[in-house]
Amino acid sequence: MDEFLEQIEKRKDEFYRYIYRNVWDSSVAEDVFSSAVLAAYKSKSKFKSGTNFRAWMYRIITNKCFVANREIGRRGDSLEEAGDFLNSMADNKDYAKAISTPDEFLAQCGDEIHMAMKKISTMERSCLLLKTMESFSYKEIAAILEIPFGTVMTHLARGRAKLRKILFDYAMEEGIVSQTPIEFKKGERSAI
Amino acid sequence: MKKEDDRNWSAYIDGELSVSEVEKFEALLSEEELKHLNNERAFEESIGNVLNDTPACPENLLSDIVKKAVHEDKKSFLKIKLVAIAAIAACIAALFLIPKEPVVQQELVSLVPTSVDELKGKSLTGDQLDDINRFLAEKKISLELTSVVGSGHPKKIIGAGVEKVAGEEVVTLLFTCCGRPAKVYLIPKGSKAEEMIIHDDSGIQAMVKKGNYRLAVSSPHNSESLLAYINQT
Repeated sequence: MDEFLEQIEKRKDEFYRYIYRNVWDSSVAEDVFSSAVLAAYKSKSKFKSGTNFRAWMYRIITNKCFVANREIGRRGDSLEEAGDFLNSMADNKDYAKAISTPDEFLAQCGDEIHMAMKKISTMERSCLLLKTMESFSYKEIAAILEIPFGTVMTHLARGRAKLRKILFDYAMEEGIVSQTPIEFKKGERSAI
Repeated sequence: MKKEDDRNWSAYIDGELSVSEVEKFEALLSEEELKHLNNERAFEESIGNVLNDTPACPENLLSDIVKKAVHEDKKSFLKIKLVAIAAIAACIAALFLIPKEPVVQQELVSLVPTSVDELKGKSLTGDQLDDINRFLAEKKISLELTSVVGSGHPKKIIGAGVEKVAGEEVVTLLFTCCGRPAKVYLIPKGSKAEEMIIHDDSGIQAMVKKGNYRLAVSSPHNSESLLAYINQT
């Protein structure tokens, strides 16, 4: 196995997990993984030695995830804009209490976190996965997705706000938290 | 609380705001909101843990892809080779020349290591003398490595490994010499690997026969003296 494939071998689980969480279907994930590795292998001469191999691979993988999601017609639900998230959430005592014990809250929500990830847009999900799962910086995410830094900020804030709202709504329905709905306030100059 | 940009809470919990932006942002927050954002940060970490709790890459998936990639590589190489052969055949026919001996196909593979990290990745043993000699004994190779400490170029042991040369497994001893990578192949006499090493331009620096083995050193640095440290048991 050449050095290039050895690098992929070292990170194969990480790459696969990211793909799986982006397309949330094991057979699609395997197809995306295969096509991404083959595409990377074919264009390995374009990879500049000494630059960030991991980020380079994520760019290829993310593009393949976009294509896969588009092909199977998956888009995020048209959720309402999240409004002024921080004002709304921090003011909601039930929500604030729920996330003060995050592991417990998430355990009670079960698979809903994965369902919630499916409901946000592909771009928001990609930004969230690259940040939350893979710990890339905003600058690196901007380079991987080929979007401006400010857009990364927007997608992350918006995706997170939606994710929290979905989780909290679920928790209310299931009686995990009290029945105080979150109503997003519209900030004066809200950017989301 | 008034915020100029509601995206800031998210960048704040990620530590992506500059010092001045943090100061400006925190000045807008009440104590309760600040505490809430710390909880949001912990919540985000928990979400990351849940998302990372995902099945790993299925066994054989990558190896199957690698086989496919290598196969496609060979196919395209074969196409190029066929075109080249056709061109050569045409020339030969044109000149009415018939080759007296068949052309021996050789693997034009460079055996020269490119980096110390590459060798570390290939090592299957520890970097001590005992580790190497135990490995040689396990492989039933009647050679041993003596101390590499001596005058001249400073050398260090990286380990030992196994590589395929001409389709055959060959034990390699891995070193640094003056900080550069160096590799010694322990090739059984009379093997295809020996034939290839002798005839092919694969970057072998020096060779020596010891017992039933031919030792060949390859390195981007002059590391010929390594051969002196490997002797028959």
